[in-house]
Amino acid sequence: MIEVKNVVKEFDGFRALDGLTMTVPTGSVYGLVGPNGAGKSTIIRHLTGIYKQDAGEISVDGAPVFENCEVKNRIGYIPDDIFYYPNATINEMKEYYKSIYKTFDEERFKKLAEVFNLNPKHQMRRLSKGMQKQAAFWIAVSLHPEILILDEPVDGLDPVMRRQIWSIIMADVAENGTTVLVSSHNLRELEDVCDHVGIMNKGRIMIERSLNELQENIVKIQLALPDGAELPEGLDILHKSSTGRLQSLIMHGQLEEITEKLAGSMPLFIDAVPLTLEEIFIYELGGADYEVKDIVL
Amino acid sequence: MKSKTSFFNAGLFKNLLKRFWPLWFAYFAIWFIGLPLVTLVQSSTEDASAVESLVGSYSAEINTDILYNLDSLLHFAIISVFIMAICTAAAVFGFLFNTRSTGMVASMPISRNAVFTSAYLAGLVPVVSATFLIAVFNILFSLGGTGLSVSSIIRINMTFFGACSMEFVVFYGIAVLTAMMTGNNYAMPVLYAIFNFLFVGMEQIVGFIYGQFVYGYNADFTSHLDFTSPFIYFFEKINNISSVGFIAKTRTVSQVIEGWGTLIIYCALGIVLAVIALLMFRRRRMESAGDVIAVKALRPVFKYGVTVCVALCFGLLFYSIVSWDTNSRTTELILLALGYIIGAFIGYFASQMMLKKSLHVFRGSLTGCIVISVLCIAFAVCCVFDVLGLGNTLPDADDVYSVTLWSECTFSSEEDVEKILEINRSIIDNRDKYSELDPTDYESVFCVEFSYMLKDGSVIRRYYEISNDENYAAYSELMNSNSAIKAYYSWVYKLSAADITYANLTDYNNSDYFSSEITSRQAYELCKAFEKDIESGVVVSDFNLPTDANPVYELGLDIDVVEGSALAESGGLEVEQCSYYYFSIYPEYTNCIAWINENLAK
Repeated sequence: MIEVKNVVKEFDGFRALDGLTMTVPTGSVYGLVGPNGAGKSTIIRHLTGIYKQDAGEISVDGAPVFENCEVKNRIGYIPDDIFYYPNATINEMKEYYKSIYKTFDEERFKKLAEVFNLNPKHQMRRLSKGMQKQAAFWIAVSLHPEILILDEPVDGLDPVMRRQIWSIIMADVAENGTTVLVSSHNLRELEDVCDHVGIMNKGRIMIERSLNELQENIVKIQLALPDGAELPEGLDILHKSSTGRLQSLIMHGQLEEITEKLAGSMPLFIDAVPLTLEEIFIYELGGADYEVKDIVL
Repeated sequence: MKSKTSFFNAGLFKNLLKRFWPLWFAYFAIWFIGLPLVTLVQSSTEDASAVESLVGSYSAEINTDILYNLDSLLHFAIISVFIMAICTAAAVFGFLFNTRSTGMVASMPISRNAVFTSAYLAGLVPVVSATFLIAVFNILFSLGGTGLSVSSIIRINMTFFGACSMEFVVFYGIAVLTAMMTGNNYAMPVLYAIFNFLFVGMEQIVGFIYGQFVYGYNADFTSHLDFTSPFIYFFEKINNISSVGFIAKTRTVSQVIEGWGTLIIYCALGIVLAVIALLMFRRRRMESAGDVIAVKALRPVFKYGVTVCVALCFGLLFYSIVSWDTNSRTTELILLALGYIIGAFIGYFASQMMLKKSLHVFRGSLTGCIVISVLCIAFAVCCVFDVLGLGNTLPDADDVYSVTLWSECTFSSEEDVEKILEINRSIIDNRDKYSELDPTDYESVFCVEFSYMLKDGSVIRRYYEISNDENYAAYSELMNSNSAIKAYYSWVYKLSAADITYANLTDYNNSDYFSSEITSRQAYELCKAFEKDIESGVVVSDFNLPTDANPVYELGLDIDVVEGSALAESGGLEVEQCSYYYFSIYPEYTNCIAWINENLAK
């Protein structure tokens, strides 16, 4: 289990992480989402032992990550912007990782060659961005990591390769109980793979729940009220819009509870519509002063 | 639970070795061409019988090929390891200068101790190994044709290997420390140069400013802070002494390099710097990749250091450009102070731009800039008005060990020292009169120089431009006194024919300045004739020769006095290598002219 407690990090006076607390359960696929500049990459660099927090604790199964080789040896990390030595071939990079990670699985690397269809003798710098990302996955998955930390992992990959990579990762999760922490702006894709979600904003985790809980705790209701009728008190409305008599409401709370309350207003029509992760993200952040603004240019 | 500390990672070490092999190979190749290959060519072409003849009889010829090669390359070695150290450190610690590479290395399961030590060794081992290989090749290629004993050849080359390796450890320690201080690959060589030359450079600038304003202050560019620059210090202190002796008709080398003490101390310092670098690396914030100064605590030092240095340098430059024909002290002060203010402004904001990686730095506080400017102006006032009174300060006669006039004649008797101090005081008393002189009027302005060696080993130098008055007359009289001339040419009195390895006489009567070699015996006899001329009082110092005085001959001598020679043991000249001496012969030197006419007229 990855535990982050009250982590603070400042860069030249700018507080990038402001008392961040999060928990990634073992064997879960945790989606870390948030607007640009929320601090997602910063917390990932802490989780991989690159940065040292100014305050707070970061641990994996109770052991600190920073300067802890035993823990780091269990973590596979694919950053947003992959680094490779300028003249190195895929094979040379593989050998480099193999010489450092005790867990590197040569057999797995050979098997995965069929999936990635890359020539290991090719220099990394001559590969396209997407192919470099594939090579990074190839090596990272061959490490047999207990924890896989991915920052914008499928950015630049074609749809087939995206699906292929996710299937490898999900197979690893199912077979080996690998814990996956993935930061991405592709919420539709995250929705398919994640079982836990953390929404970050301004260096903090705003919401952290399992995807089911998250989806159950926010509802979209479309309803039409009779003339003169008003919405009942005590509703936690995140967003409200209307077209004629038909109103759309995004609200926090359980569906049964909300429909029961609304029934008091004698609606002419009422319907509950399921919310996608993207909608949840947009409406939750809208409540935190991060919303789509209507600007007339 | 934390993992146990490891200090080495073979994977990282091998990776760095493999990635930067062209750098190690280039270093090896340059040295291979410069030393073993040259030795091989020379050894294979040297005339074996000539070597044999040298071995058979005593000869002061000591520069065998191998020694000559090492002689000529000793100072090149300092330059090469100086450059190699920064290149190596920039290569093996280059991952610190890029956010992505820093991220990759820091996320791997390698402790910081192991990252540092592996990278440090990945730079040190190949360079030291390459140097060792060069020494081994040079030993192999020297065995055939140098005429030196095998043990001497091995010792010479291992001495060379030891010296180069220790010098590398020093410079590499500095380079690695600079790599820890910065996160920017462009800043690293600049910081490396600053580390090596800052104090000497600033001392020269301050000395130059004093020389401009303090009356008589002689900025002679000798440094008291040269020990702060290993590069300069090694040039001064690490020298070859290729002293050759003979044991059972085989030439042996008794000593190769002087300055081992210096090397050992600095090598230890290099290791200490590497340890400091390790401690800094352990605390380094990896997010500093790309920053000019990666250590937070050093940022103010950098900011104000750059401000002071730029203020002093720019102030001097500005003053030198705009102060032509300025005789007023106040105007000089204003110009110098203005230069300092502009320099402080440039330095302050330039350093801010580098630290903040932004051009938008002008809205911040100016307090630091103002404080530095005020301090620099205070310094300018001290210099221009000689607030410390350095221009009027002369040593007490009791403290003076000797005085050298115009770098030629040295006086140490109490009476002479008193006399010289009196002349110097009189010059200072007449400074207003001499200040009026036009320094470009070479006919009526004369330069005089005093160099006081004090009993505590320090040196005070003074330099003045004076007119042809009683002070100048007294100075000239001292310079041309018989005791001064004898002291100047003391080597002539100590010379024996055996010490002269080569002599040639240039004939200035001939329009082609024909120069011909003469024998050691002839040169020795000519020196004896010159001795007689000195005794008769006709020999004058070069200092104040009349402008129309032209020499008729010049005798040039190569003198080698080697350890174990008769002259060295008899307490004659000191053991030195290949000293060159000469004297000019004027028509008044009747004994010399007579000897030349009698013996070399043909």
